[in-house]
Amino acid sequence: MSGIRTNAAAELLGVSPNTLRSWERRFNYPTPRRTAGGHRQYDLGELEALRRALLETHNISSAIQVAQQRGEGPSSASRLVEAFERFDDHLADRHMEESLALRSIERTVEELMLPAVELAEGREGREAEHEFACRWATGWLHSARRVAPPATRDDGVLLFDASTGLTADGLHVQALELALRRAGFRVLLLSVGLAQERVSRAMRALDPTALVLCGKGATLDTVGRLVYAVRQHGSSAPLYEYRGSMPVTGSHTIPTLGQGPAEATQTLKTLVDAGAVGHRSTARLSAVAR
Amino acid sequence: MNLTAVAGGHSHGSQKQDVGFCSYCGLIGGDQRQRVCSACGLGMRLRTDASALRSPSTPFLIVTPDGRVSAASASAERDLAHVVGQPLAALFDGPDLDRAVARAAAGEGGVVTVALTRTGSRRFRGPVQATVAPCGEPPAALVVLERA
Repeated sequence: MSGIRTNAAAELLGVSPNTLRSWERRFNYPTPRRTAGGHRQYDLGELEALRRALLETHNISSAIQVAQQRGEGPSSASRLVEAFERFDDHLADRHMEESLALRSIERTVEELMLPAVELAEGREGREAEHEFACRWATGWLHSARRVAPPATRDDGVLLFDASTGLTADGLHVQALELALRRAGFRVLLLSVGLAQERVSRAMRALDPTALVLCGKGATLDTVGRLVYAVRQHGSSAPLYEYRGSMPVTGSHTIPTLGQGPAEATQTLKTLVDAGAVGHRSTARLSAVAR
Repeated sequence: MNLTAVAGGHSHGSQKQDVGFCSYCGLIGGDQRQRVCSACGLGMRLRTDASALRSPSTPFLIVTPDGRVSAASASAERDLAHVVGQPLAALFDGPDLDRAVARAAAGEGGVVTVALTRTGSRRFRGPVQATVAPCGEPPAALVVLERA
């Protein structure tokens, strides 16, 4: 321990020594050790974590939770995996709720849920735990989607999902859908393998500004059919890929939105706001395929 | 879209004057160089439009861009008990509340007043309105609760 005395610790945090002592009584944090003479000595790491947390939160108890969590190290995803291993959905929910007191939904999904499901994936003999994790995470994302605010943008995004089965890859797609909805986009998520006439009806309903290929299960053939169906409808909406969903090993011309839902949402917002994404299509103007 | 056009809501004028306040005791003014309120030691000093919060004793909530309550004033805590971390939608509802809060939390728009049609507190049963304004840092929406 670095051993910072009370006055210096209080000064570092921009509070009075009395305030610092009152936090110790009320929240049991920061937790100084005592010298032989009974003087408090604060840990510099705790103070630094708290100082940063004070700037990122709106009340003291949240700041202290943030600082404590940082102090505990990167165990959040590991703790969620422990909940999966106990098949304890209430405990998993509680970890998410704790995180939501400190982070946004997007960060909670990206920094806690998805890493935890990825940790739970592919472990020998733990298939049941992994399936439980995926089903729980799917339910959680659906609940979050239900309470997402209504769209605030005219722009529609059509996501084509090529993920297969219960996987972290599929959850990434659902997380992207949630992030886009919460960013105000109108979003429709469909399977990449849908028949052409069904895609056409969806295109008419959404009139998308952008199309995004997600999930790693697509083949070049399905992507080709998809692009053909979209262009048949007269749409000029650009196609993007998410998390390396293009089924090619070399370079390709489909631009990527990124590797995570927050990055992809931000990239798309930037493109749309900058006018880089052509506005909605010629679909309503042209009944003729290109 | 301008929120003044939102049905049921109205804007409080265009002249904007920022004021500092404590997220817990509601103290308006005070030493703006300090992050933590020196009066109560339990709230952060934030800034908002001066017309949004007129009295420290008026209950208010701080709501993040996620729509979650990230802080409650002492008076809101008395009325609503423990609400930090809960979605605002679980406590209050109103035809324009979500949109007003989302815009304010994004730092957009001015001070608007919206009617609440449902409340999560016995104390607030009856006609209640919320004055919503951008505040921060970090960016959030200030939701001041008042009887209509």
